[in-house]
Amino acid sequence: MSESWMDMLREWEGYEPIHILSIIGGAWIAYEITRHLVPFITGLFKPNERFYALPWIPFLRLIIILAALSMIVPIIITPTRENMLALVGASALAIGFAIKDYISCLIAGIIFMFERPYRVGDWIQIGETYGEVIHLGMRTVLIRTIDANDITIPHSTLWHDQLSNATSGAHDLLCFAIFYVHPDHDNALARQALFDVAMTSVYLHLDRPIVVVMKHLPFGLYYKLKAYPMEAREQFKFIADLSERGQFALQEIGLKMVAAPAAVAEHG
Amino acid sequence: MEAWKFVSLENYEPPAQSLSETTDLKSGTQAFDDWLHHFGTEAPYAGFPQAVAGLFGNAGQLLHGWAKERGAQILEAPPAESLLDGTAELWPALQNPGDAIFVIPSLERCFLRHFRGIRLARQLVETVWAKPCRFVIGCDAWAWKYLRQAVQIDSLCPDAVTAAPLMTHPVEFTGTPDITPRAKDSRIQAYVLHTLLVHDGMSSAVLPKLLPFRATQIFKTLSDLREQQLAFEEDGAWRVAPKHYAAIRRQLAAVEFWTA
Repeated sequence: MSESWMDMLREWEGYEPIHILSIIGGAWIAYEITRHLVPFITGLFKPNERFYALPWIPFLRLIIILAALSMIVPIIITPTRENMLALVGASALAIGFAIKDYISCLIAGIIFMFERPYRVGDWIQIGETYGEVIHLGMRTVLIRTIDANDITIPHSTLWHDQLSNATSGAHDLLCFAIFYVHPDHDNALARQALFDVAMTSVYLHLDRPIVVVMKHLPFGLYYKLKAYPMEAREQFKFIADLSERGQFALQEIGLKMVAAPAAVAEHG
Repeated sequence: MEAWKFVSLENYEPPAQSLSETTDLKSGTQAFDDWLHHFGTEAPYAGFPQAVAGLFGNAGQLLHGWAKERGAQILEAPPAESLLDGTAELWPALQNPGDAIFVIPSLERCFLRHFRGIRLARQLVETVWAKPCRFVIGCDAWAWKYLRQAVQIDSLCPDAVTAAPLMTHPVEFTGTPDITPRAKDSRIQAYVLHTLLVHDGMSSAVLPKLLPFRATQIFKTLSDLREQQLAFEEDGAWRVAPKHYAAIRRQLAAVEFWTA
């Protein structure tokens, strides 16, 4: 067995280690360039252009890694059909036992790169974590929460966890503020007041629709004010602005706020 | 007079050569009168209501002059405080319009971007639809764009017109500072300048009611803007410096702010 493995290896003439190191070095430099320079350059773009440019970064990285491997492998082994099959078989065995979790993440990363359930710039929720996708690695996705914490989540989490994507590669992000009120009031007046609150928010994306949804609940009535902010990164400022001024406007026209039961309030 | 060609605001293209900063309003008044006669082919002013848009209060100046010459009734803007507290009432004359011609020279002074501040503009639309009358509205192009979305003001005047002298601003000044730094969390300068443009100027006392920032933050921003010569105070109102207008507008548009 060991003899057949030795047969696979090419005879080196001396320069091969330097050749391999230079390939690894070149790939590393190219990898770092895509990691740092491309996000820096796209940071100068308009937000809508950024959404289209950034998703190409992981694809570029995959090309770099595959290109480096395709150059290194033929230097180490004689690239015959038998040798390649043996290499693939042995790799699969090793992977199966040793780094299956890692490979699971990697495979998920490759699959998601084509399915694109999230892209750089999207606002997503995986489990309890909500934030902006700022980096898509081969194995993990890096999310920056609104508290400016960077959280790394393996792609393979999505094999068993739900993903909620608020933007899906689009520039728009729908936000909403909820108001629970006593039902005894003029509904049209309340809807108009909430519309005016959204329309006069400086964070509003003016060309997108504003919707006021009303629903009767056993303990009262709720209004859901839906609108789009100009800049997705300001979504929480926008929601705070809608909530604060919305409550004020409703109280001013005589509406009484009611406390929603915890289970209802939590799920909106 | 060629400069005073009234065209649809939607189709307005700035002239290739910049016009003199001093606007000859007398010629403009005559040109507007001629345009109205031409517009209403069957009878003078048959095409009412009409809206004229401009920048830096130019449309208001034009219509003030025109109203005086034609004996039209001017409907002046209410105080900002009454818009802010929701007590601004519709002009009583509009309840019984008769044959009168009304002129609202500066509609940008008749609303505030505040949840109480757009009620008067909405009332105007509702009242004129209930009791049609003849009037001309003058409005800043930024305020017109906003009111189209907020209260569908264009349901009264579907096609606002403008003329090159009403849209003039000084030749673009080079070296306008960056008002929308991406590195900083706060874009407060951009928000303050945008608010000044939407209202064609605003007093420092009212600005904190329109913006979701602390009053002291806003005052500091105004101070910085004055230092950078991007805004100035005149007659109690802060305005965007006309020489930086084009660059500020371009920078705001680049970071997704809506612009006129």
